Amino acid sequence: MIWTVLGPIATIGVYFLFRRFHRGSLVTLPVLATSVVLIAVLALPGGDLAGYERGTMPLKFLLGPATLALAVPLARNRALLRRRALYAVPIGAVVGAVSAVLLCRVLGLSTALTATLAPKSVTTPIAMPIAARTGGIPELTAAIVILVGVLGMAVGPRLLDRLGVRSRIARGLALGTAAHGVGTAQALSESDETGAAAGVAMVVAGIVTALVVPFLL
Amino acid sequence: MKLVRALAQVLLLSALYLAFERGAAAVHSPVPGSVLGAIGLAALLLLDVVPLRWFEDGSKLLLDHLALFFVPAAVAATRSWGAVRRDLWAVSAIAVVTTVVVLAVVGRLAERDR
Repeated sequence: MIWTVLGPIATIGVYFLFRRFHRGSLVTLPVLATSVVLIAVLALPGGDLAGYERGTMPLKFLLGPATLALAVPLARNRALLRRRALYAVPIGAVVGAVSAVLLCRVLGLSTALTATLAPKSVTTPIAMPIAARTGGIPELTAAIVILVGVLGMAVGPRLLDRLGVRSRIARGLALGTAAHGVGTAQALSESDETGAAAGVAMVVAGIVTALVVPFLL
Repeated sequence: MKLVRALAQVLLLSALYLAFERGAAAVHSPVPGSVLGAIGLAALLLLDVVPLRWFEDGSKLLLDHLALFFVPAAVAATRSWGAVRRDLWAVSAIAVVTTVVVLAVVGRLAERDR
């Protein structure tokens, strides 16, 4: 019962604390650090995950309107939508979903895990309902999405260097498609143009993945 | 004042979201209602049917703190630990390989045709 009240307060408090002290280090990345702290606290005796989930329902609800809010950065960067390079984003989103499903089949994973992994490249508010509708475990998708974002942020820039991807738009589109919001934050640290390209790619990739994954599973 | 406007816009986005969820459920849409809502709103904004400023502050508030909204789900994922523990290596390998593939495919295609 106490966690229903304490849960949202602790989540918001720890989140803003890490936001304040985050200086580009992975250890203090707000979403990762806040999740780890709350997982640890809830694992202590007296921790009540079900109560915590009830209390944080309003926070979770906001993922819905936040998905609609993604339309705004898209509309604000309409010049980017006319760039030829953008065609790479839907291709990348389809390749990402199809390759994840194929690898799951090859490695003999359950259909629930396959549905959990299929939308793992896209932003959490879009990935979770996709997983829920296709028989996956949306909470697990959320955790994997965060880890994929951190991975993309950590290896993305170096991998793109090595592949000779130098233009700002191409780097941004790749980071946004593969690593959603975390990749977009990384792209923004390279330049404003890279960040804007990543932001547009994250939304386009999310929409394309939502349209494609239900028909893959 | 700016915060009040932003909060009012969040309410408007929430109402639109609920309407799209209802609609998606009514027609048994395989695509989530929230995504249909994002497509619909993007169309209205891009075609200049509604002005960007109606949604700009609320959208910024929600997207600035997007990470906060999915912390509860990530925390609840600990319950599903049993479902992945046995396949942890396979799941990690798939996540790494597909992320690298997507980065490479999008990066190379976009670099060639920018």
